[in-house]
Amino acid sequence: MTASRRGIPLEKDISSRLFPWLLAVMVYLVGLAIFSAFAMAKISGQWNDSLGAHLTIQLPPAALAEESQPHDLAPLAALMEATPGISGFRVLAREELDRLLEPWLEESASSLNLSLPDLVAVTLEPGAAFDGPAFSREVQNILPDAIVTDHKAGLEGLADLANSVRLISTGVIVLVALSATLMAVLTTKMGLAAHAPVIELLHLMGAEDRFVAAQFQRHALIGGLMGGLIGLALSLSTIAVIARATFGLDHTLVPNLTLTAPQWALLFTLPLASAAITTVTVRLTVLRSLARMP
Amino acid sequence: MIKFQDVTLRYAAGPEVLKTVTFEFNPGSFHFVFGPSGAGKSSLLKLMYLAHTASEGRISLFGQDVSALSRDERARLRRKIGVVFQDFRLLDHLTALENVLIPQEISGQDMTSARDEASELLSWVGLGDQLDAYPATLSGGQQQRVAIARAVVGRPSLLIADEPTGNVDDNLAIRLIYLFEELNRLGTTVVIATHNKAFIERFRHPVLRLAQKTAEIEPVQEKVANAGGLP
Repeated sequence: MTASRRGIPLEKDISSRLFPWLLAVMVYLVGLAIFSAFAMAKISGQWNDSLGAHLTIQLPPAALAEESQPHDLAPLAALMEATPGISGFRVLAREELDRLLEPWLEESASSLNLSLPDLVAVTLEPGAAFDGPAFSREVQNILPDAIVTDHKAGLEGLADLANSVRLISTGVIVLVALSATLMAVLTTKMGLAAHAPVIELLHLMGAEDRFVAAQFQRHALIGGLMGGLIGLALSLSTIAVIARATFGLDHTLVPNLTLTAPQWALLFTLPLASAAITTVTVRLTVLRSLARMP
Repeated sequence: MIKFQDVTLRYAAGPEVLKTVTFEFNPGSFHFVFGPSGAGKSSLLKLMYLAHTASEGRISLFGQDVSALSRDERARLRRKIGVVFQDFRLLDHLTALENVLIPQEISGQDMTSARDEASELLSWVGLGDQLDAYPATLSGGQQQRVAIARAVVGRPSLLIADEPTGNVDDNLAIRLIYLFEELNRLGTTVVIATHNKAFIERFRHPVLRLAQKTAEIEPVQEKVANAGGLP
């Protein structure tokens, strides 16, 4: 082994030995935070796609009963055809309503002789401007007892929740990156203090600050990569467990939480990012600290 | 090569260790620095190898005012200086060979040829069978020889040695001085601090005498005349 790799015995420091493991925990947390952000984006998108593009119009059974004949939906149909943002609509058949209610009633609503509202499912054009409250008012002008349920409005709270989780995840990533940076600074300063006599000797033999910094850098690079790889392995294991748990769920509520290729690529850059952050931090810390020495 | 002009040194707010010291060593010269214990020999050498800066006065090395040098310039200047420290200052976690290789590596030498040169030098000082020994397993004399090998391995322009023969037997001490003289003949300026009067008398080189916190150069002729009269 050459002197260069062992000029300053950093590998013997307790702080240096712990550094990769602390970094592994941080990379693990960042990995999970990134996964959470992606997962929430996917769940939120799924909810938007499946529910946000629809609204429902309920026509109460009492009104139908009084008329004792199918409700005249022609004015409503004309309104929907004239309203921008509506791509289609259909009246749900009695059998469909029975199927929807059966899980709650445990038997067919028809067999219980229940009077059910007529339901009109309205499909919205994705991305088109649609004024939900104005449409509701116009529907109620035609059919005063009608109830318009805009699912998108109900999803806003969920979308806010998803955004909050994404923001928190981003905050966690930033905080962890800051903590890793501070930890690298602290460990480096401890190393500089512990090895001050060796560093002084190297200086007396003509070593420039860059030579000393290179030794710390090399050590940080190895520690950063090691910690990053351990952290990545741990976070991948956890992600696999979570993703597997979603496979059996109703995908209209929770989609399969698999990541896309760019998202996987981002996760796999974590060891490189942790090594880069620690290496650069350590280099700057060493150079700045040594520059202040006489 | 080395020029001190009214140099005063004090540590922090303490008393003066050296006071208005003025002398000049020419390139290629060989000087002993002699003085009683506590006279400031080591402090004087520390100023020469840029471990300390003067509190007052001006020091020039290789024609450059050291107070005006940047950190990198000081580092480059230090690479021209080989130092044998009184306390050896070997790195305990490195073998004898690795210790000797450090200056070579710092100066960016090819490590293969540096390794050969370092091995040869260690063999010359009688440590050919101890290349892979760690300092803790070596005697004081052996450690001193490793320290000397480390100081001379890069054929420095200036060699500064603080009591380099303090822990070795007389025969080896004489061989080491011969080594320093050989380097001197090749152009290295040599400065050796010693309390060993016998060496000063045996090897006819001028002496920088330190007393009363100041220094004065005693030429060879004068030294011979006063042989035995040194404190």
